[in-house]
This record gives sequence, structure tokens and C-alpha cells, in this order.
Amino acid sequence: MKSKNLLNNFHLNRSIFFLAIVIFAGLGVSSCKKQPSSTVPTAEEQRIEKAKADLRALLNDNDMSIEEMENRLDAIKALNIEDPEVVSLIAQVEAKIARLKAEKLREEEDARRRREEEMRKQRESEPAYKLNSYFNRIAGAASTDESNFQISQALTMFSSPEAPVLIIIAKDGDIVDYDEPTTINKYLNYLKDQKKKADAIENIVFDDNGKIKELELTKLR
Amino acid sequence: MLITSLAYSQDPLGEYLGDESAFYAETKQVNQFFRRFNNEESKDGVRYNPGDKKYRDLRERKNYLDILFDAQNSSITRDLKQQFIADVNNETNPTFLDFRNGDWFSEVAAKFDYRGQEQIIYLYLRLEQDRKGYKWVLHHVHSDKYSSMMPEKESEEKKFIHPMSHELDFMNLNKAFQDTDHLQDYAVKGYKPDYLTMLLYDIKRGDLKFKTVTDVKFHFFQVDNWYFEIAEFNRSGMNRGWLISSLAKVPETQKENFRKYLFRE
Amino acid sequence: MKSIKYIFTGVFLLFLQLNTQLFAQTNEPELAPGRKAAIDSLALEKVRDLSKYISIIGDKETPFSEANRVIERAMELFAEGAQMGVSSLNSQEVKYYGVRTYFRRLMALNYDKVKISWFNIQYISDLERQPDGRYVGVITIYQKFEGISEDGMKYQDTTKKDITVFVERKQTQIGGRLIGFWDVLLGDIRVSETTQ
Repeated sequence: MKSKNLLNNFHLNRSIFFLAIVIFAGLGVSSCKKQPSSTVPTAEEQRIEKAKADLRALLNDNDMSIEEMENRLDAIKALNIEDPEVVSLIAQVEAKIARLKAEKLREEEDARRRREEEMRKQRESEPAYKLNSYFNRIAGAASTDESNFQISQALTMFSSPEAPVLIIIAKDGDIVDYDEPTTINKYLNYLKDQKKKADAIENIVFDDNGKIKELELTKLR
Repeated sequence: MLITSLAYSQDPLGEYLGDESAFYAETKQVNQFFRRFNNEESKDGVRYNPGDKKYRDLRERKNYLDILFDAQNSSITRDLKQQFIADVNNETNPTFLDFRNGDWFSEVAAKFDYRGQEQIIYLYLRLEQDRKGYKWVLHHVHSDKYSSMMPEKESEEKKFIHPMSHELDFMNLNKAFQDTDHLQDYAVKGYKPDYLTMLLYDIKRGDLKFKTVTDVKFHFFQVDNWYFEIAEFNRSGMNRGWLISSLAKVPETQKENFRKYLFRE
Repeated sequence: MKSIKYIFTGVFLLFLQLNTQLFAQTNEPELAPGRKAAIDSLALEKVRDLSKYISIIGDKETPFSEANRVIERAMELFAEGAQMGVSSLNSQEVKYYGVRTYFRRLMALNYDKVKISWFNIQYISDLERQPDGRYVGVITIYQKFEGISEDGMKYQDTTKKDITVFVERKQTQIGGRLIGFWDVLLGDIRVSETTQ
């Protein structure tokens, strides 16, 4: 156990030694390459280089807010640099900002749609849940009086006792087969007499007062 | 073996009412007789569609064919039955029953009231195509009363209107039509009274009133060189419902005569 | 206000009915097995509904007014002029009644207690097309009847019921949509006493 650790230490030490040699050699090479003072960049050149570096940073950065990115771009544009590479980089950053803005808009739109859908579902699921529990209470009522009472309560959810009820029996591609259309009043009385589980709720159509004006059920669930 | 395995349970309609195996075994409808004969349904009565693996499967069909006979009928011998099944279920050329276009017809015994007197009249019906579908049509009638009214006679016994009657403006028709027992003698050779027309006429006149159907049978000529009849057996046990009640080898050339015999002609 | 609403509903229903007749289809191709099976089970459901109505009508506990209401609902299952043809084990003679008469007799039966129950078995025939294009089939079910009179005498029988079913594809307009539906109506019923 101990000998293994020693061995590891030995390897580590050797690595550091080699690294030191490589760095030393590198320094030596670069010092040899040093040019005469006439090639030192001017202030203008440095400004351009910095702008390029900043623009590249903007292109590579994926965390910055769109606003921050726009501010920084504006600052660079204010320098009025006419170097073609800088101009091209500015155009690229502008395109990126436009893309990010479109994405953000789409996400917001999606989120809004999802929220609305959820609200609609919730709005609809409440009546569906309520209606379904009436169905169960009517079918499971212990007495005629009880089921009649439940029927009268359930009917208050509808625009009329004659509101049409459609029942899907089969689907074959685009063709939907229904049972003969009935009315909610008849359907509720049917549940009362037959004492059987209602067909599943497929779709509810409300009128302007939030009452159910059409009910679609299905035997396929 | 087959009968016990027929005792499947389907969706319950109510509480358990005891052993239903006899109802499963029973050939409950003529439609089921066709489907069993052709092996077009499963043991629990669910139909196979053309293209299903078991649709008209000959091996399974043999089991069905075996139970489709009235087991109490001693005139259907074991040997005759086996010959029939072998012919019908012949691997190279099996015979299947055809509901709509096959050669078969129904014989219905019905009770009528003829001016206060009960009488049985036999009605023969067959399927006929009409517009979008099919219907049963009356094509023949037999009534003992009608046939005794119009007995068939040898020609020597027949009365006639002599060949010079025309010279007297057929005044001898006066005597001919008073002789009601021999009216049909004066008709053309080969004349056949049409009992169906007589039946309709009597009903229209109000002399004949339908009371009830007392018996229904079906006669099949769909299997080459065979005739069989099916009838409904309403009795306890497993061998019940629509079953083959009569079976005979009838060469194709004799089928027409056999048909006349069934029409009681 | 309310009456106006009802008039509207009435007009709507009339419209629905007119449409039903107008759109009754004349020709349709052979049905896919899945649709056929759906029609079979719809028809069977109507037969089961009828069974339940018969049980309610026959039940001595059912109040008179309820029984009458249920008779009306049961009648809605039938095509016009449907009859029952009834025979017993003792006699092959079939007696014919209108369906309504049958229900009334059932309601008025002179038993203290009546129990009507149904066997699980059922048989559904093929649907055949008749000349007018409607489909017709027969569903067979079995029923057990038990009646106990005041003096404790028990009567019971088992009957086979062969029930005619008429099936027709129709279309109607509801909420601006064209709805294709299957009109399933029960027809004549042959009731024969049988042994279990």
C-alpha cells in the first residue's frame, strides 16, 4: 500500500520536472522571436484588435442577456471603426441578437398558449368532473326521488334539457360513427333507469353564459 | 368435447343463473347453423371474418359438422352421416352453405281459419334479391283442401266439351260450369292449379284468415348429390336448436322429383 | 322568454328530424369489420336496455307512474308496429301481441312478487340488407321469469327471445356539423318457452 503511494509520487514529480523543461524551452523560443520596435501596434490597431476581441466574445457568449449584448454592441458601433472584419463581426452579432429576440418571442408566445390551454382545460375539466359525478350519482341513486333530484341538479349545467348529446360508437379513419343523437334530459333518465356507467365525456360545447349547449360522449374509452 | 368447451362466459347481462352450457351448445339461430356448418364463428359465437386464419378452417369445421345432427334420429345412421361429412368437408373440394344464393327454401306450416274451420296450409318461401338487398318470397303453397278440390286425374276419366260445341255458341258451358266437381277437367292439357293464387284470393275475400305458424323447416339442395332438412329441436340437453333432421343421398338428376315430393305435388 | 326558448328548441328538433330524412343515405360500401363490431355491440346494448326496462316494468316495487314512463322509454327502442310472438312448451301455437300490450300485461301480472333475470349468453346474427337498404339482424337472449302469488304459489319459466334489430345509417346536422349515426331499432320479438 505504502510502496504504491511512493511510486505515484515519483510519477508526479517526474511530470512536473518535464513540464518545467517544456515551459523553459518555450520561453526561450519566444524571446528569440521578438521583433524590432517598428512593428509595435499603433493605438488605432489596438482599438481595432480590442473591438474584434470584444465582438468575438459577444458571438461566443451564450449566457449574456439580450439587453447587455445590445449595450455592448452599441458601444463598439459608437467607435465607428471601418475595418472590414469589424464591420462583418458587427453584422454577425446583430444577426445573433435578432435570432435571440425571435426565439424569446416564440418562447413567450408558447408559454402564453400553454397557460391559456391549461386555463381552458381547467375551465372545461371542472364542468366535466362535475357532470361526471352527477352521472355517477344518478346511476347509483338508491331511490327514484334521489335520482330525480340529481337529474334536476345536473340539468342546471345545461342551456336546455333538450341540449343534444352525441355518442361516438366507432372511428374508422376520418369516419366517425355515432349512436342516434339524444337529448341531455333523455340521457340522464336513461342512466337513472339503466343504472349503468355513463359513456366517457369526449367534448363539451358551452354557450355564452357558460352553460353546456352540446355534449359529446364516447364508448371508445 | 366441443360442447363442454362451448361453455364460455361472455359479458354478463345479469346475475349468474346456473349452468348455461346447453344454451352455448344449442344452435340458436339458422344463421348459427350456417356459421357452424361453414366454420365461420368461434366456439363462443363470435364471427370470423373472411381472411381470419380460422375462417372456414376444415379441421375445426369437422367438429362442428359432427354436432349439427339430430342425435335422436335413428334414420340418420352413423355411416350416412360420416359419408356426408366426408363429402362436405372434402379437402380438395369442400362445400359451404350460401345463405343468399344457395339452393334452399323454407317450409312453413301455418294454421288458417277457413270460414270457421281450422286448416293447416304449407307455405314455401325462398330468398330473392330485390333492389339493395334480399327478401323471403312465397313461391309455392300446399293445402289439402285445394288439392282435393282439384284432384289430378288420368285423362280417360276427364269430362270434356265436345268438338262441335262451337256450332251451338258453346251452350254446353252451362252444364260444364254447373258440374263443380269436374271443372278442372275442361282445362288445357298440363293445366296446373295455382294454389298460391287461390290462397291470396281466399284471404282477400275474407274467407281465409291467418292464425299462427305451427312449424318451420328448411330444405337444402346445396350439397351435390345430397339433400338435407333442418328443424328446430326445443328440448333439454346439448343436442338442441337448429339441427339436421333428415338426410338423404339424392342424385342430381332426381332432385327435381324430390322437390315435387317436398311440395306435396 | 322561457316559452320562446321552447319554441326554438321545438323548431330545432323539427329541423333535426327533417334533416334526418333528407340525409338518409341510399348507398354505402361494405362495412369494415371494426364498424360492424361497433354496430353489433350497439344493437346488443339496446337489447340489454330493453331487458332492464322489462325488469323495471315487471317489478312490483315500481310505482305505477314510473312503470308507465319506462314503458314509453322502452317503446322508443322499437320500430312501429313491432309485435311479440309468444309460444309455450305445451303448445306450438304462437300468439301475437303488440309490444305495448305485452308491456301492459307484464305490468298488470297478478303476482305478489316478480323476478325477471337474464342469462349471460347471447347470440348476434349477421346483418343482412333488405330491399330498402336497411340492415336487419337477430339477437337471441334467454330470460328467466319467476312469479310468486299471494298464496305462495310459484310460477317460473325460461324463455328464448329472438329479437329483430333494424339498423340504418343516417346523417343529421348538429351545431353546424354533419353527424353520421346508426339508427338502431328493435322489431318483432319471438318468445319461445324453453328448458334450461
